[in-house]
Amino acid sequence: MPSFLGNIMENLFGKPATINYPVEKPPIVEGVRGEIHFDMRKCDQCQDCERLCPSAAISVDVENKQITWDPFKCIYCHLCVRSCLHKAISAKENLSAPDYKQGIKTFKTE
Amino acid sequence: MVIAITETGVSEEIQVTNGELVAKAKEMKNKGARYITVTARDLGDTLEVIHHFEVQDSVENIYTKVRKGEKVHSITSVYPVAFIAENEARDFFGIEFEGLNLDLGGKMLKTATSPSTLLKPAVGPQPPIMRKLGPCREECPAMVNIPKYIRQVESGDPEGAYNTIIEQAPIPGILGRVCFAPCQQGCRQELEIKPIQIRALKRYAADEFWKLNGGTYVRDVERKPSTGKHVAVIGGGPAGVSAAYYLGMLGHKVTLFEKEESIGGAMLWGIPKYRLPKDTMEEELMARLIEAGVKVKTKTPVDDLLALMDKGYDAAFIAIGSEKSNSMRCEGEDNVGVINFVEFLTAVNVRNETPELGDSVAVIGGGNSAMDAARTAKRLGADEVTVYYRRTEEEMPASLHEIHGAMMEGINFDFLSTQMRIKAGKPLRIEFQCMIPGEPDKSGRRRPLPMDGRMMSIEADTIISAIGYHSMVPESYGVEVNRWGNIEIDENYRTSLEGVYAGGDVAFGPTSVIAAIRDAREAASAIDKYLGGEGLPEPLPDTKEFVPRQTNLDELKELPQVEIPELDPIERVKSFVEFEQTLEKCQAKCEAGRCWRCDWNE
Amino acid sequence: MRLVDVGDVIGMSKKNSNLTVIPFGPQHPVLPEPIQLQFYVDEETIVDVLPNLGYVHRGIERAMELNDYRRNIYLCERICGICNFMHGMAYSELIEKLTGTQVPVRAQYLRTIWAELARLQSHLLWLGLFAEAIGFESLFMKIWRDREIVLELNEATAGHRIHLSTNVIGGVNMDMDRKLLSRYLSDMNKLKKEINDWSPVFYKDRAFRAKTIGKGILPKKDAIHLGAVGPTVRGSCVPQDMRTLGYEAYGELDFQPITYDGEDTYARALVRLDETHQSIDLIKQAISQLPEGDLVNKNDKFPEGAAINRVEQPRGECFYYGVGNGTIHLERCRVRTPTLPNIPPLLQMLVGHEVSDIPAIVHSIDPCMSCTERITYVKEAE
Repeated sequence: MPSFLGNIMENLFGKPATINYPVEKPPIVEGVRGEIHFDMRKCDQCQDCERLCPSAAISVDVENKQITWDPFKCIYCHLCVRSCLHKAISAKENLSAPDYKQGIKTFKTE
Repeated sequence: MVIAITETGVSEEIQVTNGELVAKAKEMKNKGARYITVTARDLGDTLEVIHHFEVQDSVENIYTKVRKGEKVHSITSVYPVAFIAENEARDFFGIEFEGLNLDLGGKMLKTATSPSTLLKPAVGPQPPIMRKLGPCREECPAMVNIPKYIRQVESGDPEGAYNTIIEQAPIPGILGRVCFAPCQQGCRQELEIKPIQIRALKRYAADEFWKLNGGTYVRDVERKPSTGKHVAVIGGGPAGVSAAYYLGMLGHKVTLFEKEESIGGAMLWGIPKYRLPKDTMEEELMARLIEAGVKVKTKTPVDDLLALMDKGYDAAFIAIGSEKSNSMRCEGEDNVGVINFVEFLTAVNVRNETPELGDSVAVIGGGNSAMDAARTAKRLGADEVTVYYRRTEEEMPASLHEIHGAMMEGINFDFLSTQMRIKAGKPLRIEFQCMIPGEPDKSGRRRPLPMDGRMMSIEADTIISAIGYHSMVPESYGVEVNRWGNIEIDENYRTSLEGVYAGGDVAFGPTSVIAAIRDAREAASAIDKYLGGEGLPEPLPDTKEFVPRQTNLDELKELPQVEIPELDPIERVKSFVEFEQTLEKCQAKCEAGRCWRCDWNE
Repeated sequence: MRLVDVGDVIGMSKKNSNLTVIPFGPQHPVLPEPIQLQFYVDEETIVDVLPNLGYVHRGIERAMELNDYRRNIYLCERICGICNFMHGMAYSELIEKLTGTQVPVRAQYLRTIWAELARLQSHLLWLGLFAEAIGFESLFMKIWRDREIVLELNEATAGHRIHLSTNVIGGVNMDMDRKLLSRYLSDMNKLKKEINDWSPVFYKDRAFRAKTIGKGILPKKDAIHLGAVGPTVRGSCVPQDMRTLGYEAYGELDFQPITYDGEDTYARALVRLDETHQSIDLIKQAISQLPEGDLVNKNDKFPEGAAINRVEQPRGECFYYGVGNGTIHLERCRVRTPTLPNIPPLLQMLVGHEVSDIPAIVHSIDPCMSCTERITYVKEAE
């Protein structure tokens, strides 16, 4: 007990270690791996991201120039972001879920 | 059997039989080895069981092979702790172990419907996409392995590049000069208006190979052993020569029949000498025929096909091409001074004549043959050559390269004019109806409608019609012909006669040299299968070739497209010398280095 | 109880109907992962134990043959949630052996630093759970709060608290600049101070010592004979540590395997506690010796042949065996994780003790079941 006294005093009079989510949000560290976004103006349908994705979450439709991304299969490793040669995939820094229900997201050229 | 690489070098390969396994394990125990685990591999109808041991600081493996269903001796009498790994292997691969000290009865690893062996494929991530062929290769009708030969040109191997092209299309030197290059339109860099100049690289590879090979195209290649079958190929154009080459290399005895004095077909009469010098063409075609051991019979038209087949040929391939010009469908077409482009080009290219055309020439039509006719007329001394086309400039079917070349040489163009009537006389008078573009028809191009009241009347010394051409198959062949005059074939290029195949312009109507080569290769494969062989290999992506991905696209995007050197337009119209020249070595390497390698495999 | 006789004992247990069977698991508050042990007890003493594995099946070994060899790094990382970096590192090293590529020196040092960070995080997790198994719940909370320092360091390095995903074939793909390295040093100092704050509980507390000394005895000869690995065998005075083989940058760092000769649960706990201090030292050493250089040396051919790779994970020796055939798929990849060979010693350790000692003893081998079970999941076709 005496060896733990310092800790007890600190915990009794200090502020809690947890934060009041969702009222307060945690501080976002730079470089956190979050959601990805496809810029279809730069994409030329080379299908490199589809071949490299470890969990097969990206699907490229070459004729209609569309990309579908499944946010629930994605493991957020950001391999696609690093290997797109036209820099068409960009990463957002967010910790929240990309969607509220299971489904896929489609990106088209406008 | 493989030898495994470990941290301390290479581990030993110790192969034992099933019966010796326990004795070997005792030996390891006496050495003081620690047991690591057991691995099993499925090799079809045998299973390989590998026991891993640690001896001092290195790993030693003992390999055993058993047939499926055979019981493996368990080493738990020597190493009791092996029971967990062996139970796992038993649940995983269904191997029965004899003498297992603690048998968990196949229930160690629970499955959805246990017990069952676990050799079925898992429900898991999808397999990766197959290696891509590359958009250039997919656009080429003959599926030439374009990315591979671009890499070979870049690494300084023109002989390898030449051989790669011949696998799918046997005449790289000719194609490098005349092909309309659909591959360049499929190139991914077309969006940046800088596609790779694939045709120029093909020509460079052929020219370099010719120099390295001592001034000849003949290669040192072996044919397959003789099959004893005889095949007749009728027609010495691109389809005929290619089919004869492939069939000869597969071991058949081929005889090629050609009605003119020299082989070449549409490449001989249709393509002018300033695009394709005739001695180069003859040299390359003869080189392929010599390599394949083909017997060539020129000045031998074939009139009776069945009589020919009775002479002892097991199969035949008809590739006589299209040579009948389409009619202009206007009054006065048969006046003196009006010629069609087939007659005109045959006279100039085949018989080396120089007809008198007068001062002004009118060419009717908008395709590549019209460009050829116009530029030939200019070189024969006509002062003014004008091309009349009934639609607009953007809708001309001729390739941009040709139109541009013609404009640079001083040829005039007149659009939206349709010929109506030709009046006889010296000079001839031709009346045109001016048109305006209307609604698009089913080919997507806008249908021209007459503009009321606007007519145009032109004088010309010679009128050349170049509206298109069609095939004409002699009745005596006995094959079925469809309503456009082409031979009726199925998807294996078979005609209505047994053992007779057809391809090229005569089967599909006038298309292109490369499409004829595709027909020839596929038909040769079908003929080989008909005669009991295996056919030619399909062009599939090779999974064992390691091609690293290009990752410095930003640097490559800065490089400019190479400019193909051409002769000065004012000088070059004075003669029929070849107007395009080959690339320098550094230019070719630079251009090949710009490729983005769409068929990467790493 | 010798395992060689265990066949007879099983028969005896099943015939003797006076024995009670207590199922322990698969869900139990003290276990980090599911395992079922069936205890045959005679009043309060354990007579026999039977293990039942197989609750965490996924399709990993078979899936590694269907994927291409580069995607497998991400799959291997997800075999375990605690020792994930080392799986990725072991797999990358295996492929580097199969293709014959040499990793640059800076990448080797960076991998070592992150591997020691993973070991630190794993041992802190175990210490917290062990403290809870003994009964010290606030100590558990305090240790896990100190573990947050390590997880936030992971997030600052690579963007994710657990899966760093910085391994590639031939090196690493992320670099650390001076600011980050100085943050590492200051965080390590902070962590060392915190550990010194609560580690006297492990060394001196009377209740802790009463519950762990003399329980779960594994004599030295049995430890070697039964093939135990990791801190389980180091707590029985056998200096077996795969890091002495010298892979990555361990050949240039200065350390000795930690052993204790108590042969019981207390010794194993102290081994892990001392290894946390050793990891902090190794990280500081590696940062001070970090050389300049490239990060990646790409491979120039497909994996071909067979190779073996062993790494020292927090729980022991992890063994990888891979076979390649010159195409983009591997032909076979076998993973043997450290908890599997630690189960026979566990079965031996438990016999003769009382039922109330079960949580502490089971916990002392640090069972990580998701590492252990990777075999094919069979779904019958409809």
